[in-house]
Amino acid sequence: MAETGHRLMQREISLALADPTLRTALKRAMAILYQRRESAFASIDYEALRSRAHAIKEAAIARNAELLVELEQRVLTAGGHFFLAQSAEDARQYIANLARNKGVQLVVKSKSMTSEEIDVNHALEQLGIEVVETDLGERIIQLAGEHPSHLIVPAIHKSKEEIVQIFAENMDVPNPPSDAEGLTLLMRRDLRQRFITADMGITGANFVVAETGTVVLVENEGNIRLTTELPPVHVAVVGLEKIIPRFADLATLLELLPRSATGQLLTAYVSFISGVASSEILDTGRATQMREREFHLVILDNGRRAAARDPELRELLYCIRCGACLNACAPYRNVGGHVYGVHPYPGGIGCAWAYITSGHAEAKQINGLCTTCSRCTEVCPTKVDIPWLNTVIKQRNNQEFGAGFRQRVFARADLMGAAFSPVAPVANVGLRTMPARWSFALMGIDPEKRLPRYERETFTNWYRHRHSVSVGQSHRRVVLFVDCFMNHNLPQVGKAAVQVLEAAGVEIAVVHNSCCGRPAMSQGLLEVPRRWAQQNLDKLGHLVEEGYDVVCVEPSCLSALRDDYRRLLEQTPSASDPRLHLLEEHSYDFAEYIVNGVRDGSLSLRLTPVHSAFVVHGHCHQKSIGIGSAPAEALRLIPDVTVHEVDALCCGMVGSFGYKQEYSDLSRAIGEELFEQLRAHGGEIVACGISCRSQIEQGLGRRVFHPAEILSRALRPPLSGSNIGGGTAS
Amino acid sequence: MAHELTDAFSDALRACGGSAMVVSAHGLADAVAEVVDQERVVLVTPDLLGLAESLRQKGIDARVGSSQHSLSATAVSLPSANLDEVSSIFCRAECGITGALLGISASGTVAIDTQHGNAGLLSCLPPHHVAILREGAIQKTLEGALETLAPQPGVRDCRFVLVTGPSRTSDIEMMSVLGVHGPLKLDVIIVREDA
Repeated sequence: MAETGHRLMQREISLALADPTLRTALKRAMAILYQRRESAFASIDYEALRSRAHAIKEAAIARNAELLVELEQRVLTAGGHFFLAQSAEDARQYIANLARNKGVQLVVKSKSMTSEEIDVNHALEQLGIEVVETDLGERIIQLAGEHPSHLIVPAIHKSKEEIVQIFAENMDVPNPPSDAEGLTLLMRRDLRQRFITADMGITGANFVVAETGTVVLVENEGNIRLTTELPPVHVAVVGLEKIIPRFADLATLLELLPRSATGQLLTAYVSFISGVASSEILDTGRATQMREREFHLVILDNGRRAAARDPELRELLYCIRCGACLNACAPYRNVGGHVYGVHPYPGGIGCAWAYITSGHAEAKQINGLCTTCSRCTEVCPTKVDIPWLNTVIKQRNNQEFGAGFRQRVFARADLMGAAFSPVAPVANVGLRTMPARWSFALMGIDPEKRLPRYERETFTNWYRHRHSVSVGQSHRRVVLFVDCFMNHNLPQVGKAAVQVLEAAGVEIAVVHNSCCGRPAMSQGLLEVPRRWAQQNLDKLGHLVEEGYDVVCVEPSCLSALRDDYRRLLEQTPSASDPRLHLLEEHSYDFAEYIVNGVRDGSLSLRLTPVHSAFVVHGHCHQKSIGIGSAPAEALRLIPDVTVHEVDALCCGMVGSFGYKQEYSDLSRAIGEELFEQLRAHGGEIVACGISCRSQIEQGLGRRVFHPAEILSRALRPPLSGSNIGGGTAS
Repeated sequence: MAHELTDAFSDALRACGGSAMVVSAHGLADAVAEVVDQERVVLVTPDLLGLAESLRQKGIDARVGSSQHSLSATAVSLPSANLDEVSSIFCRAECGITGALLGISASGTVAIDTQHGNAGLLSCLPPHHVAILREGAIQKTLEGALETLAPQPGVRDCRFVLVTGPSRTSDIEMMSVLGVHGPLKLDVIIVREDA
């Protein structure tokens, strides 16, 4: 079954990757949205704002039961109708019955992902009611008989030529105009009459305020305004998570939503609807002059209240549906929303929405598309940890459907290293033989991708037998974190890091036989990393208490220590262990540690000028924890170097993602953007992560170095040498 | 200080495709006449009855866009008997003129009361929207504006819209197009109070 799922996914991905119109459209749209967002946040304290937003949503979800009561009260007092729908079916039934009782013939709708979630159009159409989407992009999609592929820009995957074709075939216009202005005007005229004659308007809502009963709707086109003002009945279908306690909470959320979604300070229109409006023009052809219109608020549960009670999934409900995470998602940017199935919410966030609203099997299908690279966490305005949600879902899917053999293999980089390093020459050849590659293929691993080579002399071996170096009068002490890959595959990186740190006057200690837990964590096998987290907390935490800093050469390990241990240990007694916070505070990326130390004068590095050019690719986990430029800055410590940073989103390998058969092509496609940028710049390539390194070396056939290797080359010879330092704590 | 906010407001509005001009109270009718120029049917909200009368004196077919409003000497209200005609006038109107509750200088936004006098439709159906804003009502931030606009306890219904530039879309190949379902053109006339 899993096998079939993989094949289906692989086919969907191939189709998307082979569609040049889709690729061009996505590339353009993503670049524009990403850049607009950046400039919209340029002059505002983004971090403070999103911390406030997170707190508002956290409180709102925690109090959802009482807010529901308060909201219902407000809506009823103001003359509106209130319905809490337990399921999508309940919501559909309510709206269908209402439409039937009112004799509705035509419904105008504004774009609402929640109404897609309950598939209300279908239910109404079965009653013979015409349902017309009025958002331009959504209408295009409706005419084409498709589903939206982006939360904000539903027709993001369509080219203008395709849109002209859709108009020609569906709108009684033999020769539609070929420019965006003309097409827009045509749609304005076509829909205007429908707004006037519609009997019912259906919208979603961006926020609903419990204290005032205010429904807030954010838009640019004006179709929501007409949908809420013209037809005699307005129905708003709103997910329960959209309820916020106070009107005063809106300012924070409204500063964030348009900036995150479209890069606007505010959208053209933000409507605030409290109570039932009276409007005169509506009386056209109907009984009375001045009449109160009907307002129905349908609040949709559909799994949300269960999620609110679930400490691991709760934060999904902080999502305000801005779509910024999609624009930062490397897989999404390459294949678009339709690969995620017919479920209305794409991307990593979509997987979590699918899990709570549609079903676990559906979520399982798309869970692997989240690489957990974490780039989305930088742009989420309410600080939803989308990769962690996907990790939790993966773990639950493993429990429910069973974990595959491939997952169990990828999970244990530590054991693979320990098994293969001692027999490295044989293993490296053996792993490339036909039988080995057949077994890979059987496991669902792309046989064309090369696994990193193993080294016979591990870092640990080297370190134990090396001659220690004097670091003189040292006042900085570092535990170098020996990760599985550095130890077994890239010992030269660890050696270089030791040389540089010692040259900078740092006393080094090493904890051997350790793993951060990331490989197993990214397979959703959380028991293993939970054990590692506990073990590292004990060993490293103890050293940190003694005044050591922890330095990692692999950014993925650092992000485990700094970000993920708290999540892993959340439900254990260690959650309140003060060393957890201490470990987060005192763990550093190698480049970050060097740059900070040289800047504040606590480290001094004597480097000889190097007349070379370097081109640097920052690791996703470095960027997501805000130290994306650290590797380039570290290189700039060397006199006379030329350093260029590329800004490609992600290398595409992301741990085991690129090795998996079904994602292998997608991984290459993601890498292509990076390769292009690297090709355009001469110089040696520098990258920190082992997966970035493998991806670039396989994709470009050029060698890649860690910043530690470059810095160690530029070290001036030590002035003297003797036998202090180099202690081992294990 | 007040002028600084006005300048910032005007710049922000221009950046999102609208335009702003500052006039004195007695220059208002002339300024509006200038921006509505050749437009044939102009609807105004009942609170701007005086403006409608001035515009009619200048030969502009300005009517109060509300059948509830009683006829006055010069301003013509919509006929209340023939409702189809009401609807058709709304759809034929080339410009809608409304007041504004306040302005926000940070984003070039005006808040329109959509609860009264059909201001919601007047500011959305015609291709041109003119909003009259008192200079003293310009605030700096969204936060301050929402504090002012928050529904008061005990008020049964309250509707308003924040308008920032003309109606727009980027749904076709991310190309920015103005005037989708709402106005293509937005003019904010800022009335400077006499010192």
